[in-house]
Formats: sequence, structure tokens, C-alpha cells
Amino acid sequence: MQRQQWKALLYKDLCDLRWNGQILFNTLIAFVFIMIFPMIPGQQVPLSFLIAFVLALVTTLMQGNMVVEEYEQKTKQRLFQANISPWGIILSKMMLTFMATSIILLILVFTYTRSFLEGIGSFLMALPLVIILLFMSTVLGMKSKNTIEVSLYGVPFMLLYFFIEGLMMNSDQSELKWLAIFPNYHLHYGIVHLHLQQSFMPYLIVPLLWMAVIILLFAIWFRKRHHS
Amino acid sequence: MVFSFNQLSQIEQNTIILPELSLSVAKGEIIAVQTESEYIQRLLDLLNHPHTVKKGMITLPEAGFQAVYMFQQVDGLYKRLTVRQILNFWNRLYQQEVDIEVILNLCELQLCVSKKVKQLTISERRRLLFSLALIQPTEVYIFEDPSHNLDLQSKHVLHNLLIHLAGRGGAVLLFTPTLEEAIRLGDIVYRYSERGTQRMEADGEDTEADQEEEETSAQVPFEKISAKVEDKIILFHPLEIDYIEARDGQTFLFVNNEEFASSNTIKTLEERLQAFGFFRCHRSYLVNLQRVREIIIWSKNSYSLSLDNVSKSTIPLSKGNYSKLKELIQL
Repeated sequence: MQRQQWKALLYKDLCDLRWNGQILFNTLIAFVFIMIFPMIPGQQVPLSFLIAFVLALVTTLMQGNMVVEEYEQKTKQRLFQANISPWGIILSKMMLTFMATSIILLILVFTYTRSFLEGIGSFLMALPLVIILLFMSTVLGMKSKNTIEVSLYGVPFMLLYFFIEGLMMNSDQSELKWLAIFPNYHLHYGIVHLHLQQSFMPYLIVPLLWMAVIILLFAIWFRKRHHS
Repeated sequence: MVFSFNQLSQIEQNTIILPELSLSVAKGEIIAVQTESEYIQRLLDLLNHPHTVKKGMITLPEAGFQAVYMFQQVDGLYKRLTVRQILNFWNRLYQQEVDIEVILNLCELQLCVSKKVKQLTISERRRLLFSLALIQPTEVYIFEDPSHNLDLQSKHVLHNLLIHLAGRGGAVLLFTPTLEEAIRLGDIVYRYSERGTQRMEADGEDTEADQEEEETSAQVPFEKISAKVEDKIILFHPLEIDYIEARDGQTFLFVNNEEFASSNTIKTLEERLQAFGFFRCHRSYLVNLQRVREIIIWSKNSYSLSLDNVSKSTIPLSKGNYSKLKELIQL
């Protein structure tokens, strides 16, 4: 794919995003939530819980909807005809979703952390989860028939994420140790350790492993799908 | 020759699902193929999945399928983008710098340039899809039933666009299920059926008429025109008939938006119905002049008759017969 073609895809998706009510609404809601939740008196809402909102409403739904719309609007054949590979189409959308997620996450972490290092650390902790969700929501978009199905199939995964988040918020680290198999457990306690100015690096290992496995599984599935 | 189908066929479970197709399109030609919708779909499926086609069955330009412009009924557009944004996107995608104003002018899209695709009418969307043919760098243009559901203005645009594409050396191939559209849009017309491809003779070479001449001499003058439907024979008064079409060696009467097969040849019917104001507007068509509402002039060599019937049918009028018609109606 030529450089100009990448630019063309990004131009098209950016023009489309400006008027995509569903994506704009989700992004706005995520933004409002992360601004309002911490203001609830007497409540200490963990940063990982707010990050979960961004991951669910921005990363998952934006990427899923953008991918499914290319199929739903029957425009992909024209792109293939122009020598754009399916991977090229997906990657251009991933770049935009990643950019949008990163901007909101950076605003979030720098608003709610005390120092620059804590903010950057929290952002780094969230990155493996952003990438995991980018790939998972791409599959969601490719397997769905329309944007309604993306929301429909996406909701159980979001609920599971928030359920785990809720369990962690209401228990100590010494309890429910089995939660450590989930990457968001590590995000939660990694940020806690960062806040206490302790090393957070060990908490990156499991999310990075998850990320590697998800990318590998995606690559196998994607290859199989486009060779069959 | 730029593009050709070389004995392309498809057989599944001992059933021929795509009869043998042999056809070549040269630079500057506009070839129209009249065939069944299901054959058009199967052909386009093959073109969309070129790896499923056996080697040698399709001859392509050097750059392969990427160098073929295809217009398909299912083609979509980005509904939130404006006409100008779509044209800019295509220009960038194909790394071209085609003047957008020229495209807007040729496809008559100037008035909707700032409109989003979702606000366009079906015909405007089609014109926008056609405009890609002016951007995509290619020599071969394939259209699937391009005039289906188009308004008159867009039919004019399509007609001019095809001439423009052929004029700049493009090989244009279009598939349509209606014979009148094939005749109207194509310079060369083929009929593709289970019997393969047959080229339709140019107007004036009335081979069918010669063949059936002997039969007509035996006809008894009779005011009613008969048509057979299953085991019944229906008799129509000539003035009930909108027009008559000859296809696949048979003659069809069009009455109140319905089609009835007649056992008479078009030549016989022409002789019998002349007195009732019927006119042979094309080799394959005989029209009831009382039903003609409009004579559409697409270009110097292309004309159609628009009828005042329920379905507002349009039927071809050949160049030679246009002059005769003008004399007849004292234009």
C-alpha cells in the first residue's frame, strides 16, 4: 500500500468520524463519566475504573463500529479493487481509535494523578489493555452484521470487565487471588503501586502476555479467514 | 482487444449454472449484453473473486483485475461524506489528480457537491458511483444494469459518460436484463442465454423478416391479435397493445404492463397493424403510436420512445426509423 493510500484512508475515516453520531455520543458520555464520577462526595473512585469506561465506550465501540460499517455500507469491495488489503483497512481504523483513546486517557491520567511520572506510568499500564481491546473489537466488528450487533455482543464483555473491576474495588489484594489471571487486575494494582511510589513493572507482565496471545490468535484467525 | 471472456462457463453438480461465454471488447467499443439477472450475478461473483476463475478464461489488461472499473448494483458509498469528500478520497486512493469540477460537470453533480451521500437521491448516488470511472486509471469498464431505477437526467448522464469513456479509448462492457437498454446503450449488442452468446444484427438487417416472409403470405386478414397463455388463446384488439417486442425467436405483446407470447412474427404483425397506427421503430420493436408520449434524443445516433402506459416503458428507436417517424408525424 502506498503512503498516499494510507493518507486517503485516514482522510476518509476522519471525515466520517466528524459526523458519526454514535461514536461521538459514546466518546462524549465516556468523557462526562470520567469527569463526574470522581466528584461524588465521599467516594474514592479508582483510576482503573475510569480507564475501564474509556476502554469500553471509546476503544471497543469505536473500533467495532468503524470496522462493521465498512462491511455494512458495502464499501470494502471498492477498497479491495483499489489494491487495499483487508489488513490495511483494519490498521488505518486501529490507528484512529488508538489516537482517540490515547488522547482521552492522557487527559484522564494527568487530571487524576499527582505527578507527571505517575501519569505516564498509569498510561503505560493501560496500553496493553488498549491494544488487547483494539484487536478484540476488530474481531467483534468483523463478525457482526451491523452496528447494533456490535453493541449487542460487546455489552457482555464490558459487563464482565466492570464485574471484575467491582470485585477488586470491594476486596483486598490478599482476597480473591484468582482474579490475577485477568489483565485488568494488574492494571488496578499496578496503578495502586504507582500511587504509593512503588515499582509497577511486575504488573505489566500479565497484561503484556495477554496482549501477545491475543495478537497471535488474531493473526491466526485473520489469516485463516482470508485464505478460506 | 483489451478484455475478453474465453469460453467462460461454470458447472456445479452436473448443472450448467453459467453457459459458455465468449466475448471480447476492444478499445473504444461499447458492448451491451442482454441476459438474465441470475447470469449477471454469477458473472459478477466470478469477477469479484477472480481466484475462482480458471486460468485463461478471462483476458485482462496487464495490471489485472485492479485495472478494471466495476459498477455493481450493490456498490455502497460512505453515507456521512459529502460528494466532494468522496471525490477527493477517490482521487487520493487512486493517486490521481483529476479535476473535480470536470467530474461534477460531466456527471451533473454540481448542485449536490456539498450534500452528504445520505441526502442524495438514488439517481444522484448512481451518478456519483459512475463518476469513479473518470478517476480510476483503467481501460476496462464493466457496468451491471447501470440504467436500472435511474431518472431521465441520469440516463442522459450515463449515456454521455459511456460515450466519453469509449472516446478516450476505454473498453466498455455492460450487462442488462432488458433488451431496450442494451440496444439504447451499446454500440454492439449481444444476447447471452443458455445457448451461449449471439450477436444481434444491426437495425435494417432484417434477417428474421426474410426468414418468415413466406409464412406471412398465408395470413388471413383478421382484426384481433392472438396470444397463447397456457391452454388458452387470448384475443386482443390492436389498440389495447402498447408495443410488441421480438426476442429469442418469439414475439411478445405488451398489454397493460403484462407480457403475452404471440405465435405471429413481428413482420406479420407489422403488416397487419400498420393500419392501426403501429410503427416499426426498431428491428425488434413495433410500437402503437397512440401510446407514444415522448421521443427522447440521447445523441445524434441514439433515440428512444417513451410510452404513456402504466410502467412508462422506454423502447429503442433506431436512427433510420427516426427519420421515417419524423416524416410520419410531419415533424
